[in-house]
Amino acid sequence: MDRALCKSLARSVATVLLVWPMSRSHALAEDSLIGLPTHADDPITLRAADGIAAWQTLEGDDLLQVFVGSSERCCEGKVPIAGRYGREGDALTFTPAFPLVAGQAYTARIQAAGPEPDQVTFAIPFTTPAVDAVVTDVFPSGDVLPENLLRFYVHFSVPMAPHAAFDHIQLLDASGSADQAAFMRFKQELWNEDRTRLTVLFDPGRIKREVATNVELGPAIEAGKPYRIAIAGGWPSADGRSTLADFSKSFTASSALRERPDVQRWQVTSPCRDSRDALELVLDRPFDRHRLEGALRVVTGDGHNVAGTVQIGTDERVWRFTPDQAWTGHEVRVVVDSRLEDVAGNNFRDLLDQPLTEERRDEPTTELSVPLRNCGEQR
Amino acid sequence: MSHLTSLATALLAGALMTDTTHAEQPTLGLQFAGALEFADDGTLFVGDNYRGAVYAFEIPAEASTTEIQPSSVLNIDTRIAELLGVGVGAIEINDIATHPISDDIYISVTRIGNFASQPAIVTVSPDNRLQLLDMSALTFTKQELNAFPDAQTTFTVRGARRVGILPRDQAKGSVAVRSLAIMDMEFYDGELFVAGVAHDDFQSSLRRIAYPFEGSQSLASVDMYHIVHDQYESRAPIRAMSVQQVDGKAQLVAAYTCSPVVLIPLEDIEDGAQISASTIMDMGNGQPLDMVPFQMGDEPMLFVTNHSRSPRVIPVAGLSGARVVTDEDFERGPKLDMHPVMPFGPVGKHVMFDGVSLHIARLGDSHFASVTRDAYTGTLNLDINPTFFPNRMHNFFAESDIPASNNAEPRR
Repeated sequence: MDRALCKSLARSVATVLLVWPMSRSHALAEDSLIGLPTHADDPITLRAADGIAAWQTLEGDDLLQVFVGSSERCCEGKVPIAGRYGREGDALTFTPAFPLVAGQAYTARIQAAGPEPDQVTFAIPFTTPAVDAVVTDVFPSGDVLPENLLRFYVHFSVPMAPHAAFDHIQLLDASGSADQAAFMRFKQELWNEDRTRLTVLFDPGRIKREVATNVELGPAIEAGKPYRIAIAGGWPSADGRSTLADFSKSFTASSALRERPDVQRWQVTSPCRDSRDALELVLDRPFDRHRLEGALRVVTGDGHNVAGTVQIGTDERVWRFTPDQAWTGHEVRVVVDSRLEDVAGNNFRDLLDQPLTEERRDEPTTELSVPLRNCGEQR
Repeated sequence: MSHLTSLATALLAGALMTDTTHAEQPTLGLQFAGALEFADDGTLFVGDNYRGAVYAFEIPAEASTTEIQPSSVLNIDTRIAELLGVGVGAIEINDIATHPISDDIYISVTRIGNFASQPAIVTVSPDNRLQLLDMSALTFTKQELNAFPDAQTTFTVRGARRVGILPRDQAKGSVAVRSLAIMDMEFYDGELFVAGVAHDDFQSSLRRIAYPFEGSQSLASVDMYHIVHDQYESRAPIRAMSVQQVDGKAQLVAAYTCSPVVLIPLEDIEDGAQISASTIMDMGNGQPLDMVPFQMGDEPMLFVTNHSRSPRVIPVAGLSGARVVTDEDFERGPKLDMHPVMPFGPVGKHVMFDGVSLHIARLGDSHFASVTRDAYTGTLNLDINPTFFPNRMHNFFAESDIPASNNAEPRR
């Protein structure tokens, strides 16, 4: 390769690269020498600067190579990406053998004869369609909820932007007027790890009887009346690519839950021995959706946990357990974590709103025996 | 077949390819590049476990002029990922094979990018250069597999005995059993033998396919007595195999997980046959990976790698006349490695191997090419080593590694 030519080429390339820094590589692409891809299947092009007559005599990989990674860690000792070189007029194109991967940094090295090759780092932006931000679930899911309801869980289809929740979430009464003091407003919102589930707590001061806010404002919801939890649209998703659609859930308040849950009042459907039928419990009240899932265990007579899958049914009042293996033996036990809370925050040991005068209660019953039916004849 | 005749065949194949350049080439449609096997003339068979097909590519080549020497391509996975334009976590190496004429090493790879997997075959030349094989430019034919398993049936999730299923065990439950449809392929005397899982109740199968492909295949089911598990097994497929002359006839020597070795006469592999393989040994618990024939002096040997233990070198001579066992030959119950009968049969010997060979193939007559996981660094390297001592020395620090002092004489 002619050294004067190489120097000239290197100078032309270097000039352009120096004018536009790495972060503006797309601006660089718009202008001239290097054309960077914006889609996974686009080629990388290098255009001959004016006056480089011998451009055609150079091999493609003498001029241009593309590597995985950013320029700080490029390119000595690395294997260039496999692909095909082509010529179109005064442009050299490099088409990678496989589509470039969105989000992956790549470095194009323009190999001229200067002491250092020029490099430009680029990445293909993600082109996957944005998932619409919608409310996918609200728990409790029932449409009759006790007036001492402690919390809602709001589930979203995508991670949501933080610090916007209470600009959008309101409790509305039948006339449509909002109760601005219904929910606790913490400095730190109560999100799950990936910010797709928000816990909305009622202000316990409104729930607990004879506490200041309860006395002053009354309970947030009163038995017999209709309400809506409304989530106004426009709330942006965490990646800013979608905004939430309007959502609302209507419910009627029922009288408060002021007794501890009682396993004796649960209705049991016993499964057949030697089958993989579900063991189903209809609970005495709606329970906290997320705690319910892991709070109950099925145990064999000799104390081993039975492996299986749990489904939560209608209004968080149905718990259904399908074992991995067929049922054996004559009886199993369902063991309940006494910390399991109902939707009003009452667990098997304590009520959320416990009158001070009331004496300490007995140890709760947290086990339920379930006989396995012998259905051999019918099956 | 000698390399010389192979070369002539290859040149002929090359000429044919030139003639047919303008012929209508069917769409490749390869979805997965898994098991690899070369015929002596340079035909490369590629198992596609996603599509349920075996591809045959004609890869004529000139004989290598480079003498094979021990060498290493360090971080082979990183280098392949660079070549394919992705990060190192986005590729998986599925198999290797060596071109019998050019001595190039062929590596089948799955590349994950933009939420899609794509197959690739990367070659490493005798001077250690990596290149992507342009499969679309090669003449190929393919044979679809009949009784290819459905996509819905996945592996059973299980935990170790007395431990039970842990969260770390769950992922297996979302992997389709059909990923085992093609485990190993052997080309012998004009026919391709394919071991894997087929979709009926009798899942472990052997296929016998004449090449050039004629559109037909024989499919036989195989069961065998598994000494360690103390049961007859018909689901788990053969993991690695080799055709050898045993007791005066051509037989498949086949290794299973946990790890029985059986013999199956090729003459028994007929369409619809239900083969009861002859169990002659059990190497002990673990999962065999490859079975590579080589010569140790004048003696033919099998080099059997395993992802859970050191490789074994099994003398082929010991297979002839080996005692065939059934459930009547052992006390009842499963047998782990410490059981007095283990290992059982003419299993040869464990040999030293530094790190774990994840894929191995013979390169020329006297070397192995191995994709090896380094014991200390965990890096994945392509190592070429002589068959008589297939190790690098970089991880050993023995007497000879420490310089002798001028003054100190050994006491004895």
